[in-house]
Amino acid sequence: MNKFWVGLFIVWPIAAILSCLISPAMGWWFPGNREAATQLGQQIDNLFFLILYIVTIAFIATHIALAYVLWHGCQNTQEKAWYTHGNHNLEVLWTIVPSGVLLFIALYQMDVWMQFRVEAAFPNEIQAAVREPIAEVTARQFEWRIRYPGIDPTTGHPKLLRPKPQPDDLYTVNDLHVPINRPVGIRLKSADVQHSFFVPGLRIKQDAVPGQVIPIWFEVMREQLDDDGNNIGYDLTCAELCGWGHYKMRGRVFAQTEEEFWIYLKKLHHEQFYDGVMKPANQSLIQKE
Amino acid sequence: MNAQLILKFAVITVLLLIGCDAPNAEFVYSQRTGDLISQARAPVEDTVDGHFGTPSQLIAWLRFSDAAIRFGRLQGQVMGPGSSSSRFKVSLDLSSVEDDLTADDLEGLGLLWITGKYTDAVTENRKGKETRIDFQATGFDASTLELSVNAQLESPPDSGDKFLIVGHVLLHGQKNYMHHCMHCHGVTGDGNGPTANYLNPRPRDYRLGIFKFTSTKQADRASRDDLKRIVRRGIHGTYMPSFMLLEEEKLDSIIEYVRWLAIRGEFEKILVTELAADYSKEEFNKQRQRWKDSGRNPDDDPLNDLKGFLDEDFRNSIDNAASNLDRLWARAEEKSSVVIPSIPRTDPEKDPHSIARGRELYLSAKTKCAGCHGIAGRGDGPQTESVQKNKLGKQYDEPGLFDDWGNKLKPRDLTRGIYRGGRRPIDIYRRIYAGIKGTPMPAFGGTALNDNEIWDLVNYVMSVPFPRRLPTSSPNSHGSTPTKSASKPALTASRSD
Repeated sequence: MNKFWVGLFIVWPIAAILSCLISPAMGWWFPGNREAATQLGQQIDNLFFLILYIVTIAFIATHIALAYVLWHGCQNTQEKAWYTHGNHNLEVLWTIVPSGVLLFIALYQMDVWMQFRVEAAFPNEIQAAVREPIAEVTARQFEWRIRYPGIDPTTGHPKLLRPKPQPDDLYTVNDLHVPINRPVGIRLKSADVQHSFFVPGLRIKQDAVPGQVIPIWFEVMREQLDDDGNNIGYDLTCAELCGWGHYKMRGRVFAQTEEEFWIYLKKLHHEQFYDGVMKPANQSLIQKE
Repeated sequence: MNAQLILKFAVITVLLLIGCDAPNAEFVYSQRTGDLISQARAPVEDTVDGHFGTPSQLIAWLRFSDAAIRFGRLQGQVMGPGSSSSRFKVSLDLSSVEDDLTADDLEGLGLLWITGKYTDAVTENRKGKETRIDFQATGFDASTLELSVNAQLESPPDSGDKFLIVGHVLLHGQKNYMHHCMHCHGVTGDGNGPTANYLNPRPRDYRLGIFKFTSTKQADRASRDDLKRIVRRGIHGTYMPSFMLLEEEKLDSIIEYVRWLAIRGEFEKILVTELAADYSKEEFNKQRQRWKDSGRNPDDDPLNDLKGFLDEDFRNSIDNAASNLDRLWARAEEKSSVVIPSIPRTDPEKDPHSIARGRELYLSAKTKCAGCHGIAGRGDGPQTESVQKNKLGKQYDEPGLFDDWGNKLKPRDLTRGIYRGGRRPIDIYRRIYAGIKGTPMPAFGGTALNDNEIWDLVNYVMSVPFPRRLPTSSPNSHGSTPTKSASKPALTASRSD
């Protein structure tokens, strides 16, 4: 036995520590190297970090132990090795300790899970958002079809989204606009096979299952800006291999202020009921900040 | 044993490292070209190849105006000699190029001399025949402003010589088409890509030059805006997905390439049509037999006829085909080709009788809508079960409706609220006004129906998915059966309101 192996086993924990340290600066962590754009997403990130810490500590500790054993072994050529196989106490120890860690993670994350998924536990405003979704997203091979409720001609505000299509509903594809700074609900459906609505920037991932309407909610805290300060929206991808064109299912979640969102819906309304004669949509309305 | 294992491991590693090469892409000829006798087929294939090239060597046929196909032209001027015999300094006008053009982008583009000594440069080929030199750019160095070409020049071109670099849009379009579209629509645009067999409806075969959902009049081709709209929005109810987020410049280049493929296919179709009447294998054998039976007079030999045609008239055919295609595809871009209603849509909220009038039109003998779309609009009219005739007056083998590509069609089920060509009122207006090209859906505009009537029909069609809005159903019986609503004409109901 030579000391080369000791070096090999100690290289990895050092590399692990180094990569953990420089990752944030290099942008290796999360999409865009930014923190999640939802409150819930930040909590999910914290869970991720918690698990990362636990795993990193365990990883480094085992490797240091391994390195120690090897180092000790090649220094000491006199003493004979002893075997631990079948040692009752050790078996109990390494069953109980990881179980405890897993149990801790399972309990610790329940709060976040409940906030995201357990409708009965939602605060009132989120319950309202889920009850009155702003849009219906139907995944199909290979695109996202989006249905918004129509605009009430008397108030100028969006109506409530009905479960069944209405004559004045507004339709788009692959381009979901949502207002920021309030919880928004989405009705998620699938028209054919299983898909998954995945917005990495918001840490939202939910399968769309044929035959089911699945409510999701999120509250976007800010717009996604590029380097020049333009709002470019968050990537929307399909996270369930749904067929040969799975990779084509790219969409965008465009978060904007409430007012911009309403203007967008009005523009959409105008486009959709365009009869070839009407004047273009009221420009001052669209460009208004 | 061990050696075998190592060998296997090595082979797999090598394969993984090499990877797979892109399959060799080829343009295929149409079925009808294949049905010609070889003496007629060869000139068609050679002509098409000669003017459109192969996937690895596209040809920009500059007979076509920019309105028909925008190949992309960059103007340049020679500024002085370069560092080697195939390089020279230039100034290039890159204002029409959106992205930064790199040396790679210029590689393989055609170079046309407009002025100077190389304008009509010829070279002797192996048989001693003089042919024009096809200059090609092989790269452009932005720092030294040196352009390299595929030929060794005896002397550098003179300063001030003007030239065009042609085809960057087409080549860019091909690259993007092969990336996004080829899987379904095929390398040739024949709607026969690797996934085509698994799709229903089948992907569009561009080669008839027909696109179904256009804003243009019945006799006009599809405009760029039409194609763009379809690619952006997808076709709801089919496998054509939306490419909403594709960059504008990529989309534009794809559209040009699709138009080019469509024109290539149509060009081939026109040439074949000229020859198919006499020189398809079947026809030719009949003629040949007749000629043999009648004493083999050499003056009447059908092969001689073909030779005569190819020597004398074929050139004209090519010429006419090209000018016609150029004119037709350019015309689709003109404002006058677009269907624009003369009056705005009748608002069904303000004029509730509009839907009822529309329904009466729908059921009338004037439009015969219900003949295909069915009385309740479910796309199950009696025509779907009768045997139809094709454009040549020949009956189809099985009952039902067929499109120009030979696919069996189901008339649109209007109750589902899925509108392939778009759900805007203007989209439905255009479907009724100009028909759906390549399908049995006829054009009603300008002849059978006036604009008021079309808008009534549009309002009716848009209300079909919502039984409550239909004139014959009262609020407490909106689940009425289709036959009931058919037997009660719409106008009676609206009068009683």
